[in-house]
Amino acid sequence: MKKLTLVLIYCGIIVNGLYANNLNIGVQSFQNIDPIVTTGTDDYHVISSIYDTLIILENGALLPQLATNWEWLSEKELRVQLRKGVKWHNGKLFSAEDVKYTFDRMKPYKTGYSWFYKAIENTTIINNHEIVFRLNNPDSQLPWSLASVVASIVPKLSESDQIDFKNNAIGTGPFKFIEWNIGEKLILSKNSDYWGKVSEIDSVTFKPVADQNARLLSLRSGELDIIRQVSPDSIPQLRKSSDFDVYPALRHGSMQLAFNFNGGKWNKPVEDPFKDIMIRKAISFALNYAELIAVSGGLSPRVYGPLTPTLKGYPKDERTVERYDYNLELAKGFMSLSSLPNGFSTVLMSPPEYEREAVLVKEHLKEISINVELKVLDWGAIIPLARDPKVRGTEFGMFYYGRSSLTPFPPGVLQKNLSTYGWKPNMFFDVGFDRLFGDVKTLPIEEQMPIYAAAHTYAVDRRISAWIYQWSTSYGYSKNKIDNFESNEVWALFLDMFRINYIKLK
Amino acid sequence: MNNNFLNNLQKGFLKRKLSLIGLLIFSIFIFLGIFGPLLIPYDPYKTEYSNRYQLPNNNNIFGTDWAGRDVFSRVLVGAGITLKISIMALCIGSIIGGIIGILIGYMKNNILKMLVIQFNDILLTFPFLVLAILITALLGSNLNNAIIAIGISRIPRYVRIFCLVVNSEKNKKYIISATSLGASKIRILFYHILPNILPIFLVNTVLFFALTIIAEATLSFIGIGAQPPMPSWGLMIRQASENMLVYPFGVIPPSIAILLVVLSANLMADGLREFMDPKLR
Amino acid sequence: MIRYILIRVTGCIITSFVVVTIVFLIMQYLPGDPVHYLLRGYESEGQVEALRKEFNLDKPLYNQYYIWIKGLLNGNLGFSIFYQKEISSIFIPRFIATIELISLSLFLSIILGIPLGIISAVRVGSFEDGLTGIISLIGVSTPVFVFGVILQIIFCIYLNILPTIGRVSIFENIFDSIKHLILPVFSISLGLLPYVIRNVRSEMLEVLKNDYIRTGWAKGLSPFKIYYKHALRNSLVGTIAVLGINFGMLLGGSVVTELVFQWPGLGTLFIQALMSHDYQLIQVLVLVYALMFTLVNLIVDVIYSIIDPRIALE
Repeated sequence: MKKLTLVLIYCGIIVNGLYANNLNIGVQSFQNIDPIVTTGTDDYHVISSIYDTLIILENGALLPQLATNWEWLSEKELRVQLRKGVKWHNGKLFSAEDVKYTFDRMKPYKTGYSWFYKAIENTTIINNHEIVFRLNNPDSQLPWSLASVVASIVPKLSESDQIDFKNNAIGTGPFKFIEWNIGEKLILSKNSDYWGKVSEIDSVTFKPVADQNARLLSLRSGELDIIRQVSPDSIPQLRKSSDFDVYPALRHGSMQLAFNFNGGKWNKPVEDPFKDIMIRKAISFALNYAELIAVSGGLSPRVYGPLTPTLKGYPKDERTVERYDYNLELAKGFMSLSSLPNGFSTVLMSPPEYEREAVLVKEHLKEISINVELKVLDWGAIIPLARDPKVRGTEFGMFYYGRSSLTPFPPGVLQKNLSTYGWKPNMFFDVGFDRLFGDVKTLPIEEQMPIYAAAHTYAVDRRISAWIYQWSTSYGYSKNKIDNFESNEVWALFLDMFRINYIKLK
Repeated sequence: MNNNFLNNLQKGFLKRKLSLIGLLIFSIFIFLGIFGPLLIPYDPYKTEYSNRYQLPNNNNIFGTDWAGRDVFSRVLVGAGITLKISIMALCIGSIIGGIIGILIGYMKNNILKMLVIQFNDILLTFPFLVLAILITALLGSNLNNAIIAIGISRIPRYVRIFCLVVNSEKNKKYIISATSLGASKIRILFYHILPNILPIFLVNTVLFFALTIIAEATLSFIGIGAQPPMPSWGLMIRQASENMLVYPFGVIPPSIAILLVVLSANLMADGLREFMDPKLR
Repeated sequence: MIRYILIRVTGCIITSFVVVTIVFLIMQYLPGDPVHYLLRGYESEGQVEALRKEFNLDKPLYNQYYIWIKGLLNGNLGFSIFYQKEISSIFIPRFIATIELISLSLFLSIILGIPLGIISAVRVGSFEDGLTGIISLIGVSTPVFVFGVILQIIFCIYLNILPTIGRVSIFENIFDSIKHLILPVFSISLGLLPYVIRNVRSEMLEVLKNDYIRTGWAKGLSPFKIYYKHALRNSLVGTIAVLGINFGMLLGGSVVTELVFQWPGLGTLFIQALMSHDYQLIQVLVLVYALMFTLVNLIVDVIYSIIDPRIALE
């Protein structure tokens, strides 16, 4: 009898296993899964599936999640009403206490992207399902910021139950955290009590595979169903096959070749060749953008300025923005009109991810007599060079990098080019812009738009950098297992991420 | 046994033939290293994106890489880079190692000398890679620092060679008599002692070449040696291995290049050893 | 004997500490900043300073050193900035993975090397000898990573029978585990094999000339007994010495092989720590490498002195 039960149980498990829907996702690597500590995009995929935010961004519109309603009581006060009947993964009921804890925890805004919420002075609990955010400065973008995965709501736990949010998670989201073997798999399982759309997927296994090729091989062999970041050269192959496809998730940001206005001791024969707009324009016409886009995977759309069409404030009439494309003759013309018609030498810095594109840029610029020395450095080496007031920009002449915004609003992107704040590859100092980036957030949203459009147009007009393409992340997925990866509801978050419970399986 | 004798003779002849082949290949390598840049059909740096990932054909003997650059030209220029690196590292290693070795060799046989020699022996077998990685991390990841790291890693061996020879020769009768005749120490050193080093030095240096090539390739492969777009063989293998799935052939030309040159160096070293052996005895 | 071991062990520990102190000092001058590597440019005012404070990066040198040494003695290996975790939790599984690779490679080199060396010595000048010679030559002339990459291309891409990278624990699935182990272990062994073969071969050649072998022939002992019993013992000693001398090369080879096969061991950890300028992690790893190295030398010396009592101990 005992044996029979065992056999039946065993069969049951097998049958269950056969019918259970498990999704295997290949990512690059994990740091930790604390929403306000980590800076890794792969971590956010996990976080966005375990936790909910107050508000969610879907198709460009803000929709309620854990918050059912929100309104501005005054310029600096936002009242938010919370959803009732939501349960945490440990069974406890969700309440205003958890929201207060989530935002109080972010102080002193020193970790991860928590500084995003600096404007919040305090969070006051009105009743179990109502809170008020008090800001120290007006910030009309707050609802959009609340839609960010960084503001995932975490539970307030008693001291004895406290978990380390870096390695463990209790959320209200569509998936529960099961286990994580550091360096190896991270497993989530479906939350059947989810208040929202319950997923048809029973469990998700995230596998960190650092090597791009290995990830691709695992996708091809069926070990993984979805992979993040397909190696650019393999994208055409993968798309051609009938079993797989690649989806480019666009990000709010663009790749640019930034010109260092400060100049550097390594530029010859003059130290600051990039102060000459003729030279900047010449370079912007000398880059073979099609090649650069092709080597990055071929899926990224061309953009001409710091804002992308997906960002709010992008000029409605595109004709107001100058389009510069590959035109070698024009480039040579501009060089002849410049202060250094015989060319010059300079140094190009690039993070390792864009090494190939930097090599191509070097060759492109050779055509207009600009001799480029390439330095490929990682961020830990680049930023001290860019930031240190003593060496501020004296090492490099150009910088190949990309900047993306964490919300649909451009300030983060524009700041890096146009203000004196923080480290800047352009070293372009125009104090007028500073004022705008201090006060602009306090204006009503409609009034902010023209300012962003003007800043964007100005940056393009002055060719502060040569912008190349819109950043995107490529997702390779198996068409045999997944039905529609491109569905709009899936891209519900501001970064190029998807929420797993929206994925439809075949 | 008759068989054995014949076997040994045959073996010796074969070995000599092999070493000669090694010498030949190595000489070609040196020739290409020096004159390579004059012989290349294409600019090794010029990218031609539309022509990427070509298999060997009439235009490109070794095909093209991810950027459409001619691999044959890159391999040739790479030979020059390899040669330059090896010579520079050799200079660092042998000069510094030689000076230290001679100094130690001349010391009296006391505890300090024993300790220093012991320390040197430990350094001899210390994992070179760990050391090299640290040095390049400290000084910066580029080719020059990799050369310094490789050169430094060879110092213990040269110290050993110089120390051994100086130590064993300095007490010999002919040295003592030369000293008593009034010959200066330096003259003794260069005229009498050092020529004895030549055989071991030569063999070791050829082996050194082999090791340097492998070391530089390894460092470039990890990413802390030559930087793109330099056509260093190690870097080429690395870039090719990143595209293995799309273009597996890319790994072959630089790998064979390394294999041939190092093989020839090893064969030469073997031959030299056989040649020098009776002299040493 | 025991006294000798104790002296050597203390020597080991002292050497390793000296090494690590030197490395600690070097770390201070290392260009690059771990905090910036982590934040990748998306940071706010004051965030960088706060993080540096949290990681003790703002304290003076001797203070940092003291904190670290004190931690070590308590078993606390320090804190990794990149992984945002205690190093001890990262370290152990990686250590096991690397030991797995190294020990299996040593094992394979011995199992393949000794028979091959004996065969080529016994049949000097024959085809087998020549073949083994060629294999040795190629083994010595090819960088470790070239082996790895070429094996990957042949077995993973063309033949598609083995996985390219990664590791599966033995406790999870033994067949998968072996499939992942084959190529990396082979890559490393191919580098060591030549040394073992050459050593065994030359020792065997010497031994075979000896009188007592002739006596064995005369007595009518079977070839097996002669070769494997008498000759083997001598070659074993030499092999251990050779492996000991080349242990440094083995360590280096394992680092590169781990990179090629993305093996989650100390090698990839070391390279990642270097890239992210994770000082504490680098220090710990260098200490571990130094300790492993000196310990192996010690073990080899001790074994040597046990097997061959003629070798003076001092």
